[in-house]
Amino acid sequence: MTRSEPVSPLLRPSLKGTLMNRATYRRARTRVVASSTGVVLTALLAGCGGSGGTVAAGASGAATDAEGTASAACGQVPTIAPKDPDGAVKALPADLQKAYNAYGEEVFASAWQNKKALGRAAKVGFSYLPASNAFAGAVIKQVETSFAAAKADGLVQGKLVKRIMTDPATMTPAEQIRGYNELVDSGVDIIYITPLSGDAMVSAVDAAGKKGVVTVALGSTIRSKYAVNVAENAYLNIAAPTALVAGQLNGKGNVVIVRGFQGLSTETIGYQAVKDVLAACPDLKVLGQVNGAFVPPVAKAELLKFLASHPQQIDMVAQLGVMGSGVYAAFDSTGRDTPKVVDAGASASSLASWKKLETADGYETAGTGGNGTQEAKAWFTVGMMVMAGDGPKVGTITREPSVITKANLADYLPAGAKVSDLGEVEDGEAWMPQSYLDQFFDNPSQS
Amino acid sequence: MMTTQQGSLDTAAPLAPDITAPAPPEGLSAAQRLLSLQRRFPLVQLLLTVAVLGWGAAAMPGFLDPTSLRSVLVLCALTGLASIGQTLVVLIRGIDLSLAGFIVAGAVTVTQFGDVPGVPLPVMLVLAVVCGGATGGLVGYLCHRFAIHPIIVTLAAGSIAVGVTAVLSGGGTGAGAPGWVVRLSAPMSSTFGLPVPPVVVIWGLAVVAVSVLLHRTRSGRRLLATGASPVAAELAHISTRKVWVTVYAVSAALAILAGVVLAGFAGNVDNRLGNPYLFQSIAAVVLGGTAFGGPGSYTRTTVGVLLLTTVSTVLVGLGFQEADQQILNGVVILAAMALYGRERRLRDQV
Repeated sequence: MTRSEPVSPLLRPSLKGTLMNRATYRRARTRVVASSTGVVLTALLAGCGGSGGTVAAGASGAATDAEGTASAACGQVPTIAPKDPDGAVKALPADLQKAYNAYGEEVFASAWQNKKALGRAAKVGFSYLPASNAFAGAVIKQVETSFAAAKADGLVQGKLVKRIMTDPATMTPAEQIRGYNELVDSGVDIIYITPLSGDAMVSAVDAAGKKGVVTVALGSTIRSKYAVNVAENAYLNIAAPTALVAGQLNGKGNVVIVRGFQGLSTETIGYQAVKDVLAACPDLKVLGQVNGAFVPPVAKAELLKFLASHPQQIDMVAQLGVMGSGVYAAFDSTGRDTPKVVDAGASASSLASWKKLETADGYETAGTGGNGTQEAKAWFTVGMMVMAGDGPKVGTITREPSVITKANLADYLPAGAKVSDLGEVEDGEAWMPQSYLDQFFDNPSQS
Repeated sequence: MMTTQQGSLDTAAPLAPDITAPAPPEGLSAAQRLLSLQRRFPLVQLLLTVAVLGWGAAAMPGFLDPTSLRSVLVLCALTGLASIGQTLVVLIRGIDLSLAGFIVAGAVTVTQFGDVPGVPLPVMLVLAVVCGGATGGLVGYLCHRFAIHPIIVTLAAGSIAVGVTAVLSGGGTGAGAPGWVVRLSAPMSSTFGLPVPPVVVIWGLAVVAVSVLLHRTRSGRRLLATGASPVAAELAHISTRKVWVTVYAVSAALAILAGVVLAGFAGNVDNRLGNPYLFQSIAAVVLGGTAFGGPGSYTRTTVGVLLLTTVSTVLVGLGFQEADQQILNGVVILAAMALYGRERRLRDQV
């Protein structure tokens, strides 16, 4: 005790050395003042940032690129020339060029266009993300199946050398690069990879390419001439169904945007696509946006927070991929009317919700399909074509998205799918069949 | 009879509500009394929660509608249930990063193993809880026996839990949680006719149960004594190793059960389900004012959960960007850590 203070005799025995003295008082006072900083900071942020969260539909500068702005009417997808520094896209047949509309990243000519056939069975490496969802599980399974079939045909040898990260909570691009370099050092001829970050992989892929190792990427684009990217057009994949839904609403209504894992290039491109489409519809008002991190339960939780503070009618939810089931679940659990959900990257669960609503009251929306099995099959085929010396004309092979509408919903909805079903959608439209892939190679007959 | 600075360890009563914080002496000014009260109860956090609620109500019409409040309460309950184990672990100067892994294990159990022929779901759940508890207990033993920091061991345990779950389930995706599990956390569901979602009622009961356990039982007092001073606790013949083993076992078992409830909320499960709750559980404990090794309580964590969720909901509603929210969350947690984390060292100097 450093100073005497009046103390109740009843409390004295239990207080002993912990009685509040001047120093304690000062600390406690400081604690109250500092604790209040939460409210002050919140208020400050509200003043300077609150309005920033609402995207003005007309303020995005729609469809701007190096070759200028191409505006579109409400309900239509903007036409934007791709970044084509080598003229590789322009050299493709006209109908293929449409798939590159607004492609978000540079499309290079492939460094493997003049590669000769390996002349022996290839050693294959496989670098992949954790099997944390149905898509990833299907990709891994299909790659193993394709590898076994290729081995039987004498195209590959040995075992599929895998470097699959295990924990989505702790995985990093650095961890993947380390595994990728191990594959290179192990002497493989070709590496199939789905990069966690396409940009982070560029140096490693360049270095491997100079050693003659071919890299074939699925999903994200690696901006290296030594990578052959097999990917959906991330812009069209979001813009196409969003434009359709905007048209269904006659360009009027309230919109909520559910973003993915911000910082990923596909998310940035998809978000730009939403903004570009909405920019053409001045009567579509964006109420706000939430961060769903590409995880349906996270999307549901964040949407519940948003809905708790927005009682007004919501007409459209533009989610940036694979979170449709979380969006449907959020509205269902609150008993509110379900808006038109842009079901990009649809799942069996989201399509089951769509079907349930359609059956009940004629609900209509739009989405995009594709599943891990068919994508992995095309991915593996592309790699084998490169190794056979078929000569890829372009470093990125993409396609126009498989748009799901009321007309073809049944083609994508698995039989008996339930709202709680975590599975993937059915094939629906073929995803890069052999005849389609052949058009991207100089000598497709060699494979 | 053994005694510590926190009182008798062999008797369950009489005890103050928070035995690590003194009651205010008489003769103090009103301000001093308030500050003294703050030491025993997270008054500022509670007032902040009310203020943020008021702000949200003023800024957003309909924010305090019953439907909205039920949604927010469900989110609070989910985070609150996931934070029980973290609170107990922090009170013994530990931390539990395996939480996310065990949540996934519990969620997968209810979604994937609910229809195993001849094995009813309750049996599967008991098995999962026992296995999780055993793994958690092993974590506590390893940390204590070999003086390994819990960050390392619990991180590994979380990965193992996710991996083993994936192996046992064959990497399958399951068919979703049973209807009764889904209804537990549906904002529009009711409990015995009351318009309160069952998960909120469960959380309320958990708050009472954990508070009683911590502050009204011998086991709870041993736990608090272990956190306050492991050396003194050993001198008082408390087996701190047994406390560590028990606390980590309980934390893992509770995470398994939290995973069951979260599976119902999520509808379907993948192995990222638990990730958000790992950060939120730590943030809620810290925001509530529980320091590593105590003082603290689950009541504090409960208030931390309310504040965290309310602030987050208001920020989302007002259209803040993710980056804004992250900045604010970080600053508030740092402020809380600076204040409550400092208290322990100062108190130990007395």
